Parts: sequence; C-alpha cells; structure tokens
Amino acid sequence: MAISQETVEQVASVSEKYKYGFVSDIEADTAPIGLNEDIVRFISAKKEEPEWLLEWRLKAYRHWLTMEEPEWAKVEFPKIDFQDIYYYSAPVQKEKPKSLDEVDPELLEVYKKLGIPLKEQEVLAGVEGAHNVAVDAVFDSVSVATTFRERLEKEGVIFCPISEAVQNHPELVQKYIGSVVPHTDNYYAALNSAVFTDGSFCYIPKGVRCPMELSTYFRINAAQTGQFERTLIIADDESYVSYLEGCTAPMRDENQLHAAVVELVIHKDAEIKYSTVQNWYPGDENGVGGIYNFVTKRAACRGENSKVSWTQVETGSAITWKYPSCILQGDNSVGEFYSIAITNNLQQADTGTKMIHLGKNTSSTIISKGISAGRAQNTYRGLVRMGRKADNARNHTVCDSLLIGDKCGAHTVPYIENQSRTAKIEHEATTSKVSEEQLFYCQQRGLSEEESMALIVNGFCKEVLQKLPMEFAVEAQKLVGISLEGSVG
Amino acid sequence: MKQLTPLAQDYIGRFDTALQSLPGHDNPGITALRKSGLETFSKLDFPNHRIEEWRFTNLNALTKGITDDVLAEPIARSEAFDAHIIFTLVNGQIDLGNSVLDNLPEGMRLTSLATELAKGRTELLETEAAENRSVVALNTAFMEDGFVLELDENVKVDAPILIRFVSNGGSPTNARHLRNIVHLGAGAEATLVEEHVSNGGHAYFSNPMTKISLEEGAKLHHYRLQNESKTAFHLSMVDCDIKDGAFYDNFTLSLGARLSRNEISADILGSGATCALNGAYLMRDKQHCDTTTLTRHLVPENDSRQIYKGVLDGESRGIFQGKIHIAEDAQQVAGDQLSKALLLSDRATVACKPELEIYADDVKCSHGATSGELDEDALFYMQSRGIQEDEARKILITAFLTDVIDEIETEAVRTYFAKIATDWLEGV
Amino acid sequence: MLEIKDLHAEVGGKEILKGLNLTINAGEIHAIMGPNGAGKSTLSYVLAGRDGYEVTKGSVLYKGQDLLDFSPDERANMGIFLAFQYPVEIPGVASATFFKTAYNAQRKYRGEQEVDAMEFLKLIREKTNELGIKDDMLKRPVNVGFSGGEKKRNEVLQMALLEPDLMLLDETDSGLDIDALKIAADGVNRLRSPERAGLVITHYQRLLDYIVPDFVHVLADGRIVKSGDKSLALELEEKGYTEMSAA
Repeated sequence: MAISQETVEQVASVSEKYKYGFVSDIEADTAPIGLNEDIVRFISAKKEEPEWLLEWRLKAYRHWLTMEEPEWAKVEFPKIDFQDIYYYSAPVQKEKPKSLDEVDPELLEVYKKLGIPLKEQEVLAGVEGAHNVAVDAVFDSVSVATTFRERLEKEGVIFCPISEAVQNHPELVQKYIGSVVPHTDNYYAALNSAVFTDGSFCYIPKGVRCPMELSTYFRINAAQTGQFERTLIIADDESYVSYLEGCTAPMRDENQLHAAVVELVIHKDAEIKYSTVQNWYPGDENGVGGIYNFVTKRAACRGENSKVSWTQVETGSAITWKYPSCILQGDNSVGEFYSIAITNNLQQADTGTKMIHLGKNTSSTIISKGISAGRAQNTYRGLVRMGRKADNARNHTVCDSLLIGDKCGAHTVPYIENQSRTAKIEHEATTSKVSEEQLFYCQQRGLSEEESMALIVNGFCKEVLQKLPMEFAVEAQKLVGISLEGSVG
Repeated sequence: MKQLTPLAQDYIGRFDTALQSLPGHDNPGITALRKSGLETFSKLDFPNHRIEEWRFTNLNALTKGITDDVLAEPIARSEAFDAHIIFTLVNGQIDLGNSVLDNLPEGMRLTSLATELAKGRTELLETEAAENRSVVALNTAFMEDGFVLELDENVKVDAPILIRFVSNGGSPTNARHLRNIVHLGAGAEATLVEEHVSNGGHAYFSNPMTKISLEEGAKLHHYRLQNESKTAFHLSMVDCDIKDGAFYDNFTLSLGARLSRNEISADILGSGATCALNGAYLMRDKQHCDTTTLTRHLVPENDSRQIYKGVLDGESRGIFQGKIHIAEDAQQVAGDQLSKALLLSDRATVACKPELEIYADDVKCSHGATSGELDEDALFYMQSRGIQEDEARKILITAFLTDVIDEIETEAVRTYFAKIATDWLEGV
Repeated sequence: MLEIKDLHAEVGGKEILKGLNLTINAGEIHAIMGPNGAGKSTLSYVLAGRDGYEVTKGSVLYKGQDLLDFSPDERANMGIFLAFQYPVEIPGVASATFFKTAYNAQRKYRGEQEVDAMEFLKLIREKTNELGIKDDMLKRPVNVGFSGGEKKRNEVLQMALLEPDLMLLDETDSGLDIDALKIAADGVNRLRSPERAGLVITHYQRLLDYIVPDFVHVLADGRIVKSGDKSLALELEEKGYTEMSAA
C-alpha cells in the first residue's frame, strides 16, 4: 500500500522531459570500427582471456556469420550495418583502481548527473555500511568499481565483473556460460557471444541467502559503441538472490545497438529474483535516435523446487526486443514473469516471455501490462509450452493492453502449446483504452489531465509494480508518469 | 531455387491438359484467371511451417502425393435432418438425382458454378486483390465446380438450405477443388448447412473455397459439418464480406479427415455489423485439425465474437489460430474470442495462438484460451453419486460442448450437430 | 457565488439545456428536481466541465469569474465538488492514495504546503470517524467492487475531505437505503455554512427531508419552470412532474 500512496508525489516531482540527456567525454580506448575475427581476438586479448574462451567466441562469430537477422517481431527499423559499429571501447585507466579515490572523477560525475540518487551513489562514494545494496557499476563496457565485495565474500558470494570471474573463477564460468543461452541461440545472442566486453557474474553458494540486493547500472556512453553485456548468475542449491538491473543512457541522434545476454541457472530449492527498470533513451518525439534493445534473457530452473521471477519495467529504448524466459526443468519448479512495457511517440516494443514446462508439477505465472501512446507500437509475444512429461503443470497468463490516443497500436501474440493431458493452461487478454470517465473523475477532484493519466496507468500496472523491490518500485512509478508525458491533451 | 513439392509439380505438370476440361475453358477471362492462380501457386508451392500462418500444420503427408491405397473402415454416417432444399455434389460433380431444387422460393437461385460459367457469368469470379494464399491460388487454378447461392434483396428463406459434398474416392486425381459463391442482397436472410462427407474410407484431397458477400442488413447462418473420410485431407477456406448492419455466423463441426484445416477470413466492412465464428472439433487417433480465423474490423462500430472448443483423444492434435485485427480509425469495436481444448489422452496435443492486432484506441477486445483435462473434482463428485466413470466423463464432455453448440440458432441444425457429437462420444 | 444566465448546452449535437437561469448565493442550498431526461445531470456535468457537454449560449459566473474558461481540474481546485451519480471505478489505485493526491493537488493550487502520508492518514481517519465510514475502504481501489451505497458514501467522504465551496450532488440519493441516505445528508449538513453553497439534484423529495433546501426548482425540458421554497418539493411529490411542468 505504501508504494501506491507515494505514487503521485513522485510523478509530480519529476517534471523534466528526459533528464538523463548528456554526454560525458571520457577518452575511449577503442578497437577499430567493424567486426571480423581479428576484432574478436582483440577483445579476447584485451581481456587476457584463456584460450577456451577465445575459441568459444570464434565459434560464436563463425556461426553468427551464417545467421540472418530475425524478422518476425512487429518492429521496423533501418537495417543495421554491423561493420559500422565499434565493438570495444573502455575508459582509460592506468590500472584497476584499488579504491574509489582512484576512479576517474568524471565517472563519478556521470553518476551524479544520472541522479543515481538512491543509495547507490553513497555506496559509490564510499559510504560503506549505510545501505545494503551492492553495486557493480558497468560503465561503457568495463567495470570500474565494485563495492561491498568483502561483505559478500564473507558469505561466499561471488559478485564481480564477468571479465574478472574469467580470471578468478574460470571453472565456474566455463561450466555455465552458454549453458542456458547457447552461442547458436539467436542472431543477437551469437553476436554477443562473439564480442561481449563485460557484464556481471554472480555465484551464490549452497544454502546462502544473499545478504543484500545486488544491483548493476548499465550505461551506454561512447558514440557508436554497441553494448554487448553478458550476465551470468548461478544460484546453487537452497540459495537466494535478488538482482536489480537499471539503465539510463545519454541523448543521441544516432541509433545505438544493445544486445545483451543474461543467463540464470537455478539449482535445487534455490531462487533468483531478477528485476529490471529499463529507461534508455527512447528517441525524440519524431523517432530520431534512441536505443535498439535486443536482449536475450533466459533462466534455467534446473533443480527441483527451483524458482525464478523476472520483473521488468520497460519504458525506454526506441526498440525493445526482449523475451525473458524460463525453462522449468526441475520438478515443482516455478517461473514468473511480470512486465510493464510503455511505449510513447514512435517507440516500438515487442516483448514477452517463454515458459517452457518440462518437469512435473511445474507452474508459471505471466502478468503483462502493455501501454501504448502516441504513434507507438506495443506487442506482447509469449510462448507457453507444456512438454509431454510436464504432468500437472500449470500456467496462468493475464495480458492487458491499454491504448492512449488513436494513432498507436497494441498487439497480443501468444503461442500456447500443450502436450500434457494433465497440464492446465489459462490465458486471458484484454485491450481497452483509458476511459474518459476515469479521467474526468480524477480531474473533478483537482488532478491535472497528466496527473490523472499517470495515476490511472499506475493503477493499471499495480500488480506488476508491487513485485518490484522498494528501491525500484519508487523509480518505476516515476517512470510510468514521465514516459507518458505528452500523450494526453 | 528450392524444389517444389511433388504434388505441386504434379499440379503444375497437368495444368494445361486439365484446363481443357475445366468449366469456363472457352472463356479467355476465366482461363487468364486460372493461369494467374497457377502462377501464384507455382511461386508459393504448398505452405510449409516457415510460413507463420502454417507453423502448426505440416502438409508433408499431402504434398508428397496422395495415393488412394488406404482403405479405412467406412464411416457410419448419421442421417441428415429433413431439408427441403438440397444441393448434392458427388466427387465435385452435381448430382441432380440426389438434389431437391424444385420449388425454390422466388428471388432465390441455387445452381452450380459450372452451369453459371457456361452461361457466361464470369462476373461471379471477379475477385479482388492479388491472392497470397497458395491454397486459394491452387483452388482458383483448378476449381471444377461448386454451388452458387444468390438471394435477391429482402428475400428471406426460413428453411435450411442443405449442401452436400460427397466424396467416394476413385476419381483419377483424388482431388476436389470446389468454388462456392454466396451472395445475399440487402435485407436477405438464409440458413446454409454444408456437409462434407464420404461414403467410404478413401484418401482424397478436398479443397472447398467459399466466397460470401452479405449486403446491407443481410443475415446468414452458415453451419458446416466436416466429416470427411478418416484418410482424407480437407483444406477449406471461407472468405466473407459483411456490410452495414449485416450478420454472419459460422459454426463448423469438425470430426473427419486425417488432416483438416478450417480457415475463415471475415472482413467487417460496415457499421452495425456482427460476425460470430464458432465451432467444435472432435478428434481421435492421429487426426490433425486446424482452425484458423482472421476477423478484420475495417470500419467503426461493429462487433465480432468467437468460441471454439476442441476435444482431443488418441494421438490427435488440435490447432486454433484466431486473429482479430482492428484497423486504424475502426473505433467503437468489440471483439471477443475464446478457445478451449480438452485433452482426453496422454498423447493428444493442442496448440493455440489467439492474436489481437489493434490500431484503434476506442475498442474493447479480449481473448481467452484454456487447455487441460477434464475436471477431476467434478468427475469424482459424480462418481461419488454413483455415476460410472465412463458415463461421468461423457456427461462432462457433453457439458463442455453444449455451450458452444448452443450458439447454433437454428434448432434443427443444433439438434443434428449435438447428435453427431453424442455419437462421436460413444467412441471415447 | 454562482450565477447561471440563459444557459444552453448540447450533448452529441442534441440540445439539452435550453436557457437555464439560476443564482445561488453563499450560504444557500438549492434543490433541483425534475423528471428523467430534463437535463439535471447535464447541468452538473456542464458546471464541472465534462468534455462533450458543449455550452452553445449563455454564461456561468462563479465567484465573479467566467467558470466556462476553466478546465475540470481548475474548477475542482476553485472549490467546486461534484458528487457523481455513478462514481467511477479506478482499478489498482488505492482510495487513500487517490484522496491524498486530490487533497494535495488542491493545497498546491492554493499555494499551501502539501501534507505527508502520516499527516494525511490522521486527517482522513478523523473524517471517516465523523461520518461513520469504515477505514478498510481506504485500502480498497477507488470504487472497485463497492456497492452502490459504498460508492455514494465514498463521494461524501471525499467531499468532507476536500471541503468545497460549492457542492454539487447529482442524484446522491439514488440507490441508497435510509441509513446510507442519512450518512450522505449528514456529510452535506456538516459542511453547511454561511460561506458555502450547495446544489442538490434529485428525482425524489426523500433526500430533502434530510438536507433541507432553502430553494427548490423544477427543471423540465432544459429550463427551470418553477421555483419556490421547500414546500414546493412536497407539492411535487404529491402532484407529480407532469402537472407541475405544465403549470
């Protein structure tokens, strides 16, 4: 309840158009433009990677060459010239910082401008112990600061940039990388496998409940630099972790590609809660600029009673192509997907999930709220599949779409496949608009039209907002209001 | 270029010869139309799973070429209800002996396409934009006959009009490409019942395409029974244009064929129009039944609804794909859709894709889809009252089907279809 | 406080109000009675500024300003409160959130400090206690799943909270049992003061037993056809609208 009571204050307190629009000019150490095997080798060499990883990257690259870009999503954009992208750029550092004092002050300045307002900034500034949020800050592909390491280490939790994990825990990385999203999986995942520069790695050992929420801020910075993050999280038996991911990006006129891969492995009786607030630059009112967000996220619930929960609030990006998925292998495993996708102006989102039920008594829940305004196109695309051995499996799906204005589109494309007699699938979807009556009622009580809209839409999204951890819920509610600015009146 | 399927090659190879004996062969317009159909088909071949609309239905068993060497046991057919107007086509040819066409009400015409083409009525085939559905293109190239039903303005025919498509096998190509045309003038009303049946267990390819146009305020009930031979392939298409204030409802009961596809495409072109697409499919053994609908709301103020229910036994597979499209500016539209499937056996499967594609904001649309087994609690409850399990199952399945069969407005047809469903259940 | 002159208004191209005149001074409660379709609800929507209710002629002065120049939220912030005949459901938005948002919007408009959650909770609890409304309503989404009576009570609670200068009650009595009716009337009576005014729209005389009006008007076919004191309401009840409108 407390969350929703705060809603409108927060909506009202944020009135700027897009306050994260600026560019910082840190000198980049950049690979030549374009992509070939030498670039893949360059990246691997820069990262001082072992031979097996280079080989894996090359395999991915060679496979990528044989693939074609997927065209089935309901999104339109000019063809990407993959040879016109820089695949490696890193902020200049003499050597890895031993403390935050050694971090480029301009970086810290960036965080300030970003309004990494929350506790994270204190954390980055070194105010230790004040808050239980560990931040592995990814800035332009290279992790520059990792905090709370010690506290996590005491519990045996490994939380570090994946490049570091490759050096320090190669056996874990080798065992799990590509095990959920293989290098052949899809066009963008193959590309990512070949050229990923960094990302987060997290391992929660058996029986450990991670003592704090883990958080990573991604930020795209240098012009024309595609971002290829790779995240790998492993929850060993009976462990638990909640992972937060949030993003903002500088204003740009040129489209920027982001093709991340996130792999989650959940063992017996373990649980991962993965929350995302995505607020990358969506382009301007005329659809100029904006991020292409082509992400592959997948969780494998390998063990019995394992559980994964994806919660996402997608308000940014010019194009979102994203289907956080759950492979429910272990008996009694649980998959959840809670999503809010807001598109305004000329944004396009094609997002949803896949629930692949393989084990007995597996269950999944999908709640998707799509809001389309301006001239935007918003598509829910999802798959629920009950395998032959998924005895007594259950799925319940609700996907609701809201239309604001008569020039936008809202689409629902669910695929439902049942091969198990005892499995039950229930799917329901609705599409409607914000009613004129509701708007008038709010206005009659003194709320402006935009405030009214923000309030009603927040109400529409409530079931999903409630699933977010506190820090994110607050930010997400603000975003709902901000994202819809200009959509009424 | 990839190779065409054997069946496509076969069709293309015998087109020129076939053309000589197909109706309208002496008319250059019709010939040109057939040729363009063949050209499109040659480009597209039979659909494969890479085509989104066909991802769940694989035509390999058909396209490698059918041979009529599998004789299943003859189908026990239930007797049709008592109809006063009957039009019978046997193996694609009109069978006047088994038709009742005297005493047609004034303002109603029911004839065969071949007859009408012989009269030079080529306008019946004047079709709209280029076709991108290969099975329709094939039908255009090879259509041999079909029925033509025309009602003048305000002509209301109360009695159901029965059209029987009977296949006996044994014809040289084992294929029936039928083209049917229905046109209801403004304010006209009719109830049309189609039966697609077989007198034996032959393998054949049945490909009926029906084009319907309903003028302002016209009303058509269109009831279809697909009870083809268990070794047959049935790919049917219905295209329907619905104008201002017109009403179209379609109910398709599918139980026959080894592989069937019931494809309906309805364009709502007028305000105040209603389109109701309903159906039930009852499948067993290795049968495959695909229902694919596309409802397009192209103008404001109209509504559509759909309910499809499937009962799947044995190793059968049911498919439902339903798309509701609402065009930009088609405001104040309501579209509802429901798909439910019941799996009776461990090997039966279902796939469902209910799709909403919406470009107008003042709309109310919903779809629901469920699949699963019979309610175990209800089953147990009934058993605890002394009802045997088999009996309890049948009661529950009947109840499951009843609310969709109840969508059939015409009582005689409702009773007839309910009886067929009950008979089918005896085999569960 | 409110001066309506020769008001003509259309809905969907159809003229509903056809030259309505009405003046309400501070401290007065007026009742408007009339048959269905007379334009009672239209009048309340026009005053509150609902989209689609188009004024084609005439003027409305509120506290000396041309009311028709203002948007619905501005009118609300200027002290006009409409208790809806059919209060609207807003799923997912807790009533307390909604009330606080509205309360703070109006404070902000007046240049006052907004209140925080704790302070607000104290305030709203006072109001619910005064009106005998259960607190659990605050947690439920706005009007969602409320009974007809609960919805109306919710309107009265909001009115008590927002303390408007001009109360417009659109058929607040419809669908209410006698206890609920008393709560509603109590809410209005508590707010009665020399600075405030009210316009009670109703079909039946019953409500006026509890909210005793200073003036009663009969609205028929878009015009006020008869005005008088509270005895007019009783007369109406007795003779029915047909006879009275004809008079």
